[in-house]
Amino acid sequence: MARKTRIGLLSLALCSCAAFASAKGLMVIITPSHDNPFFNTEAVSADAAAKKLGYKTLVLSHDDDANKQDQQFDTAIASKASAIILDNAGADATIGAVKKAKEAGIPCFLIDREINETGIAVSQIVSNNYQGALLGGQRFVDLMKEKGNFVELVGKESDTNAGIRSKGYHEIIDQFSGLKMVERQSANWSQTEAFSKMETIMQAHPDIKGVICGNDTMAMGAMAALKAAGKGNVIVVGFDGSNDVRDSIKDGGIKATVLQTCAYNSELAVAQADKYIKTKSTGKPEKQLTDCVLIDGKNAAKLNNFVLAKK
Amino acid sequence: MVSPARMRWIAGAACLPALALVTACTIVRHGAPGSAENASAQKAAANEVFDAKAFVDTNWAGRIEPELVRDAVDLREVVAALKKDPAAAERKYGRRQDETALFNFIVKGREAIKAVNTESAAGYVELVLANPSGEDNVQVQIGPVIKSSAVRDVLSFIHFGDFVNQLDFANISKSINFHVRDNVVTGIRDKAVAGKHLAFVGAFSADGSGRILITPVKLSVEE
Repeated sequence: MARKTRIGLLSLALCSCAAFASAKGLMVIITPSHDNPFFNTEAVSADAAAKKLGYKTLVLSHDDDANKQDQQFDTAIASKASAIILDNAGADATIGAVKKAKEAGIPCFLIDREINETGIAVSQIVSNNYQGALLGGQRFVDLMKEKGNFVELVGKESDTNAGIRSKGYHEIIDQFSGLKMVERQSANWSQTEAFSKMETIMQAHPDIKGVICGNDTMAMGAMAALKAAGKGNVIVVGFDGSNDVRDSIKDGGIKATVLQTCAYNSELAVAQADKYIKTKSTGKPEKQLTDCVLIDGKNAAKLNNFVLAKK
Repeated sequence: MVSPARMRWIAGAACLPALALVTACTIVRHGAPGSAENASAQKAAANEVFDAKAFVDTNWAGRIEPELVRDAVDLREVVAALKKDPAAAERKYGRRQDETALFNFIVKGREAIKAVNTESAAGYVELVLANPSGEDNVQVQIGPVIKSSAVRDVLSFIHFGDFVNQLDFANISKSINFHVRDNVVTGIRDKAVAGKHLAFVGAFSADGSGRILITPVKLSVEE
């Protein structure tokens, strides 16, 4: 469904760039693959917010390929976009693209992932991954009752957040001498990779008590492998707050995750882009943090599409 | 345990100077000399890793502890206000780093000790609050593991936007907690017993759990 829309919008962009010079202009929204519900929510939320403000939109996915992202920036520049909303394809690899857009007079508003340079994007709205990882790490320690063997599945190395989450987890976990990490591997944010890696790890370490994961898709993969091996009682903790993990928590599978308010961040980025287009200022510092929230059996029912209902 | 990722942190730190130069320009408007923001940016500009521990150690006696001592409100007043109307209590007493963050409160008091938990590495003293409802769940951390970023998040001179990245910002909290572990809660485990009193100044985050977990910056056991 999302993919169809994307292809549709792309062809629209290719055939009618001139049309975008209309009224309020065009916002180009670029994120990683929409197959991951987190990025899909980012794109859908930004798209809806931009349209609501009267902008035309072009929604694209770089699939974590910096070259593809670069071409998409060229498309945005050729389309004379008013702004680019971006969840980028690499903290270093993206700097050139954002510079190029800035030189072409197109302001960039970054969400989710930071880039390793300031002063070229207008906003970098980042979930406080470190604060979130501390929450997840603390809950993991509590669930483990401060002792036992565990495995860590880490995200894609090119993404700053993979390292930040891992570091946050370890800041907490490493202070407890009873907790022993028997394996630490990257599963590149991928569910299938987490599944196969977990299968292998279990053979070497049949006595695993917990698995802490850098994101929810890897947590889902790990949980599936554990269940298939009759080890569904192993403590699994994720990060993102996806509906899949919410449902697993409700069914007594995965024990906890950390919600990133990605829908809110997307809407905030679009609102700031709109303000910047109109006034040449967002009134906010470039780098902005939004806090994460721990999700467990108590509040999972209130979570939907990365939004936690207040009541 | 030095993982490839950890190596990347070290490598990554070396890449910071370029962006620090830019950051430094925006920082001056907030930063007084010796402030965290200047420290973070200047270190990065000099191709050094920002030393959060040194920053905390240097500023503990002159800025961190004094700010909490100066602004602390009696714990009972805050607890009563939170019970009556959380939103109003947050407006009146709360501090936070950004609009999506939990509110944090600076409190002080001298209360009777109900129980001491040293089973957990994240040990705590539970307080008796002479409250009619009797359901208060107020704990003061005594380590050795100190959790929460409440102390960092109440400080008026610490702002995320003034740091090079999330890590420098996070390291402030980590270093504060280590400082508390090594200088504030030392010896408390042995002295604290039910029936005695705990005098404290500290901060906590209102996370909605009903549990108030105070990170102390000043702590002593009294008869």
